[in-house]
Formats: sequence, C-alpha cells, structure tokens
Amino acid sequence: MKEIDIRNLTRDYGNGKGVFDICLTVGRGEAFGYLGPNGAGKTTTMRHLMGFIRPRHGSVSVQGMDCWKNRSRIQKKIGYLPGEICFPGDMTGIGYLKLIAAMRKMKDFSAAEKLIDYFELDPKGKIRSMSKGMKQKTALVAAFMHDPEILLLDEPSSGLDPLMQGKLIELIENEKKRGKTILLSSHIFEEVEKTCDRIGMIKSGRIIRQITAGELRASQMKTYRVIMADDEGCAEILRMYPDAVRGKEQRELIVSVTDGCINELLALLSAHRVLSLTEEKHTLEEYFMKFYGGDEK
Amino acid sequence: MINFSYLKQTARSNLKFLLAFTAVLCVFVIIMTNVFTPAVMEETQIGIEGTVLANILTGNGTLIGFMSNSFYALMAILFPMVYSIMVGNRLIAEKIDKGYMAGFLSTPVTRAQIAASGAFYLTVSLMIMWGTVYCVGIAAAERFQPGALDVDKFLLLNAGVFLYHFAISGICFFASCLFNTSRNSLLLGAGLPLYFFVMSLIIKLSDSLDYLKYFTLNTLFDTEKILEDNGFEADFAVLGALALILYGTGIIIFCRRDLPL
Repeated sequence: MKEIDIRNLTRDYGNGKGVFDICLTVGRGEAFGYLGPNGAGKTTTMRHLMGFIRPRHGSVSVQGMDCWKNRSRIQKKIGYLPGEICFPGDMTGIGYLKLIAAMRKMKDFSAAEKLIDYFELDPKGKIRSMSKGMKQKTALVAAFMHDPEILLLDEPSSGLDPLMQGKLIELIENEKKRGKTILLSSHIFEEVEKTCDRIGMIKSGRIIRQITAGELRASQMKTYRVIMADDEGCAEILRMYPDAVRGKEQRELIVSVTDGCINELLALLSAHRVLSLTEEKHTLEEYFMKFYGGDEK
Repeated sequence: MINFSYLKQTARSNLKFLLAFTAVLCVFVIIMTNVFTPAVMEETQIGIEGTVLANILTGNGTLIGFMSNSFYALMAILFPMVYSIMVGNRLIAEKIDKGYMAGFLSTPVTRAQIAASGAFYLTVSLMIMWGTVYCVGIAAAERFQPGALDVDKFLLLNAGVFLYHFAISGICFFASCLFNTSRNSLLLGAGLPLYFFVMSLIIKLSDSLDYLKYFTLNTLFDTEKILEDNGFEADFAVLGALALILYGTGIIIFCRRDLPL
C-alpha cells in the first residue's frame, strides 16, 4: 500500500485549467518533488489530497483511505503547509498554534516550542502585523508540530530568507531520515533537487515526466558565463567547446557542460587568465524545454 | 457535534460584536421604560392621529403596547439583523474567502463540527442577547414605572423576537455556508432580510397590500397577535422550524461542497 496514491485524477476547471489524468504514488519514507510553473496544477492536486475538493474522475487516497470520504481521519497523519498562507488576523501566532494544537487534541506542546526556537519565530505578536516570512514560519510550525507521518508542503520556502530556506531544507532532510513521506511542490528547481528522491514535472495540469533526482542531476547541463582576459583564451575555449556562444561583452563566452565534464572545463580555464566566471541559472521553463523538446504549446 | 476549542475561539472573536449590540439594545429598552409614561403616550397618540405613522406607532395605551409598536416593530428588528449578517458571514464564508479555513480543516475536526460550532455560537449568542434585554427591561421598568410592565407579555415578546432573529440568522448562516466569497454570502445573507423588512413596511401602508404578508418573514413576528394572545404559537413554531431547517441545510451543504482553499 502506497502512502500517497493518486490514480487518473482529473478535475477540469475549463479554459485548460485544472489537472488531467494525474497518476502519482509516493511510498513510505520517500520524498517526491512536484515541480512545475505557477498555475500548473500543483495546488489543485494538494487540495484533493487534503479532501478540500472532490475528484470528478479518478481517485485520491492516503494510506489506503479515500481523501474525500475520510478527510478528517487522514488529517491525523498529514502535516499540510498551504501554498497561500492566511490566518485569522486578530489572533496572535502563539494563540493560533495553541488553537490548532487543541483542535488536534495534542497534549504535548513541546515539539511546537522546539520548532518555534528552530525557526527563530517570535509568535507573540498579532498575526496581522507579521511579515510574510513570519507568517510562513508560523504555518511551518503548524504543519510540523504534531509529528505527522506524511508531509504535504506547497512551496514551503516562499517568503523565507536564504538562511531560513537552508534550515527548512535541513529540517525536511531530517524528517525524511526519520521515515516521513513527503510531497513537496515547488517552482524552484534547487529546492526540489536538494530534498527529493523522485521528481514529477507537471505542466498545464499534466505530469509530463517522472524521473529520479540522480537521473536529473546526471543529465543536467549547467551553463557558465566566462569572460576571458585575452583573445587567445577565447579561441582555445571555442576550439574545445564548439557549442559555446559569444556573449554581449567582449571576450565573453557562454559554455554548457554536464557535471561529469566540469573538470575538463576547469582545467582549460585555469590554463588561461579568466576575468570572471558565473553560473547561469536555468529557469524552470528552460528545463521543461530541454526535457520535453520544443513541441509543447 | 461541537468542537469546544473551536467554539471558544469563535466566541472570543465575535464577543465584541455581541457586547456592543446587546448594550445598545439595553440602552433602548431602558429609554423606552423611562420615556413612555402614560402622559407621554397619550400626547403621542393624539399627535400622530390620522397619519400613516398611526398605523405603525399607536398601541393600546399601555407600556407594553407602546414598546411592541415602537421598539419591537423597528429597532429590535433592524438593528440585531446587522449582527446576524456580520457574524453569519464571519462564521464560514469569510474564512473561506480569506483562506484560513484551510488551517482549521487541516486538523481532525470535521467540517460538520466546524459548521455546527458556528451555528451553535450564533444561536446561543442571540439567546444571550434577548435574555439580557428581557432582564434589563424588567429591571428598568421596575425602577422607573413599578408595576406598569406586563411581565408575561414582555417575555413572549422577547421570545418571539428571538425566534425571528433565529430565523434571520439562519438565512445569514445558510448564505455563509453556500458561498465561497463574503461578497456573495452578504448579497444573500443581507439582501433577503432587508427585503423582508422593506416588504413589512410596505404592507403597513395600506390594507389592500395585505396579501404581501406571504412574501416576508416579518409578519410571523406579529406583536399585535402576541399582545392579544391571539394565535401566535403557530407563527413561533414556523419561525423556529424555518431556522432549524436553514441551519441544518447550511451545515450539510458546507460538508458536501468543494472548497477553494
């Protein structure tokens, strides 16, 4: 029995919006990255898993329990971080967390306190006057504090500064080591790559590809932007890498290599004078283009 | 059916409205018992004789008669309606509209429990509101005009106006359960009660418009019938039953529908 089992899930909102024939399983202790641009259907899938909406076609279940029929029972197993964070504005952070803890019949609040310390959250203020990052931290504490077996995280790092993003990834990795099942949705490639075993790419409501993180890493070209000090170096690189493109600056070259071939590039560069070397971040769209070719519309 | 933690939070977040509305109603009742002395009542009756107001404001010359035709015909209808409209919307629709219903539903507390706790709060808060008005009214009458108030009729008036607001709040709650946005919830939850009120005013303008009484709820709270002890029981029963049906259907609809959270 899979922890999360989505079969042929279809929900058509019209105008091409919605999810279409989604099939996806996540086993116990596995972390699944759900990668796709905004509006691709990630949140719609999560809403089905939470029992907020009824599947019009197909089925969605958690630990063998139908997510619509048993929606309150599955909540005991699930920690959910919504993609859009909203709280009752007139409550304090701690008041809200205590209320959710009481509604979950949690007797022990110490796990929540540990998380509050971990994220350096000050939960005493009114939620209305909290910054976006503070709200996100409050929601993270609410999602993790009852030590759930399954974590549904919808764009968990949004609003967090890089330091906290790092701490969050560390927390997710630890939870994974403790055997938690994780479904993490994101439009940020690195977030998924760092934490997940398998990755499903979704676009326009359809899963276009499922691969393991290892496969992804191996097949992935990284692009570097180098500015050479002299024409000689330029010519040498162009000779070794005929695919390299000239950039806007003088003696600027854009070179793409896989991680497996990075040493050759570095060796070549170190033989010449280099003025600057930067990695070009791929956008998600570019990854999709690479994996799916140019025929997607 | 009720989740106590959630109910406590609901009560806390709506307490200021309950206190404010109850306080204003109490002030009005105190003024009524204070102002409507027999001499004033006689003058008023002469003053408005023959005008449209005579149909609305005249009574049988007793304190309870005057209260039922002024306070219980206007202020006690319209003003607490605002409370039901506001709180009704806050209980469900606003939480979906703003999105924080998701947090409450990511606990093992069921949708039925969330909705039933809200319904329970709205009903009990209206009971508290009219219970307080009843007690304050009796105390004030005893202080300003000892013996002038017919206490049994006063109890029936307050029971009736509570049942009326129970039904109105049922409409507001139903609308709140039905819609995803505050805007739509308020459109029905405020629109329908206001339409009923306007309708009840139009009826009073002329006897020939009497058939309109079937198009408003307000005629089910008929103060004249209560004062004359003339068959108000059936009206009370209809109001109560209507309220229960509206609350019940609201909860069922909220449990069955998709939520855009």
